[in-house]
Amino acid sequence: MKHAGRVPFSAVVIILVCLLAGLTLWASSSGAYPTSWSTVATVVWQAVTGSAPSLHEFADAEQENAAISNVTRHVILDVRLCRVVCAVLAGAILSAAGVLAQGSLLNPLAEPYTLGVSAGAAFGAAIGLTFSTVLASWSGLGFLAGIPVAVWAFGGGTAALFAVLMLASFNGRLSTVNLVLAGVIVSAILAAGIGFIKFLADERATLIVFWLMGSFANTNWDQAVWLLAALTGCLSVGLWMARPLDILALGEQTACSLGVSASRVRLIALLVGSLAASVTVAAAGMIAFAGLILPHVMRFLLGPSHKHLLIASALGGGVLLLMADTASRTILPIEVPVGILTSLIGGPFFCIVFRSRAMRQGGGA
Amino acid sequence: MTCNRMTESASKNTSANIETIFQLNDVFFAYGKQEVLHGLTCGITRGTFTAIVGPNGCGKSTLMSLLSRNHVPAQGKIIFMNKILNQWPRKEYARQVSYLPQANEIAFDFTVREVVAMGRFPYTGRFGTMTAKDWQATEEAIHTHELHGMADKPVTQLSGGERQRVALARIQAAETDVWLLDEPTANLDVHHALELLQSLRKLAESGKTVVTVLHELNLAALYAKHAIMMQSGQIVAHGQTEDVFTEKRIEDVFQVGCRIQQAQKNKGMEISLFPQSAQATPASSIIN
Repeated sequence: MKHAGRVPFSAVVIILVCLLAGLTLWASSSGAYPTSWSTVATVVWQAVTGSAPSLHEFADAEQENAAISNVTRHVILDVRLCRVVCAVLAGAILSAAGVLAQGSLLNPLAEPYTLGVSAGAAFGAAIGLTFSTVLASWSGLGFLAGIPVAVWAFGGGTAALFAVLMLASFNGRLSTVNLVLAGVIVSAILAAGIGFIKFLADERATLIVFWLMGSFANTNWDQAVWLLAALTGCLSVGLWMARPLDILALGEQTACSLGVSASRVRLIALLVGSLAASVTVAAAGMIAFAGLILPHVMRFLLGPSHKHLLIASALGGGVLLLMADTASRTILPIEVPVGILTSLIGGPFFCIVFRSRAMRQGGGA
Repeated sequence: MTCNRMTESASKNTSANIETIFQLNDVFFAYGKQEVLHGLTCGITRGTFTAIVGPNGCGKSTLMSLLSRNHVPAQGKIIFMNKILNQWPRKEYARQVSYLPQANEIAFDFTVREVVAMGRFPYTGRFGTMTAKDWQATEEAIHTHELHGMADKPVTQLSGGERQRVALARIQAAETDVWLLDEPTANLDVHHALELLQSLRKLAESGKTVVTVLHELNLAALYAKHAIMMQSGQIVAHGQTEDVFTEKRIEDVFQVGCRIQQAQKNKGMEISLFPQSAQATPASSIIN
């Protein structure tokens, strides 16, 4: 079916895939240790096909190929490419989770952090960062000191999510207003908790602050695997829920009469989206607004079908966050936390969306 | 009391082939602690056009939301086709009963055609893949409701009345046997309102069951053969519309003055309503 003013889905997907491939090459070749595009392409090709030249092959290899030292290989594969992959995956997760949050809350201003996941994860991380040494000195709780910060963050995010869901549900029903309000309440309490920990933490406060700003500087391949698992889960459940989410747009009562249980769809979509988002918080800290922008842009281009939105937003989210991350480490002389960059881009974007929406609805959002 | 007497007299007249599609037995419902339905008992017959009337807040919409399974009775039973309502699998029920709620806001910019196509969801699989038959039903519904000119427009750009017609087209596309409509004429102009009621009456004559909440007593009297009159969470009367709509009952339930005249042509009735305080003055002077 043709619709006036919409861009074909396949065209958007093709453009985004090409963009993603090109950006990956650019991001892997730029940085403090300059390498050429062709070197990157060769190294990646060799890594993918498993044909990294052994010692005797080195002799017959071309001049350019032979020039690729092990240092270059290490920089490209383990430092840059790993970071690139993590940024792409995190962007894809946050945007897909944003689609799920907006679709299930019927609110285009919702994002994966709306339900308090980020505040919960930050609170967990703050506890992990500050008290790991303190906890270690207590005999009974010594085992807690060995838990990595990422696990603290994930645990905190999950706990906050369940607190919000419990606070918002009445008689087994989840209304959008209750969910958003419960998210605000829980986030506010946790923000105060984070402030309190920072106050107690003295010099460790810097660690917390830096962590809260979000960065891919310390990512590794293990985290990439976790992110990939989270993205797979988020997308597959999302696509499973895509048509019911479309139906939900008709309103809870109509959806029910068409055989779709609004509360169930909402619970599953929000749970999966928020959990996936808290994996990204655990891996790279808080990256604000990344989950808000792409669902909007894609809804504008493709229309509101959730199946298309999920796939296109995930791709676009990967592109956007990779661009932001590469910009954050190459454009300025010192590396800026990517979370700050996304907030600086996303904040004004949020304002524009909010204004144009309020305008269209005659003043009230 | 009245209700029981009416249903009994109705059941005496019924022949064996008329079956009760909905049977409510002593149904109670409460929002939190506030009880809104106090023991409803009545039956709705297959192939009839029933209007539910009553003053604001009497529980009409709540009754509709129980029938559409948006709520579950706190006490009592609703039986649909010899089976308790909540024992029907959701999608199977959705293939038999469709529902137009009062609130008619659509959250995202779906086009008219996409919204009408959603009516086919109970027939499509999990992923909503539409077959040729599904599209045919969709296009037919768009055509019946004169929406072909705006089929590719986003519903969010339509007026309230146009959105109402889109919702009705969605219900038609669902091809269910039972239509539950909560104030379907709200937002519609006179032309479309009368056309809708006319088509609903035809639907009922063709064997479908139509249950609507209507505010206009005259329209209810003109088009609906059956009526359920409600007052503060209870059924005051239930049966043939001309038996349910009496001057005395309308005056009591709606707190208005009321005169009913038999119309000549289509043997319906004309109901004149006026403020209760004006009851002392002769009715004719107010009508003219």
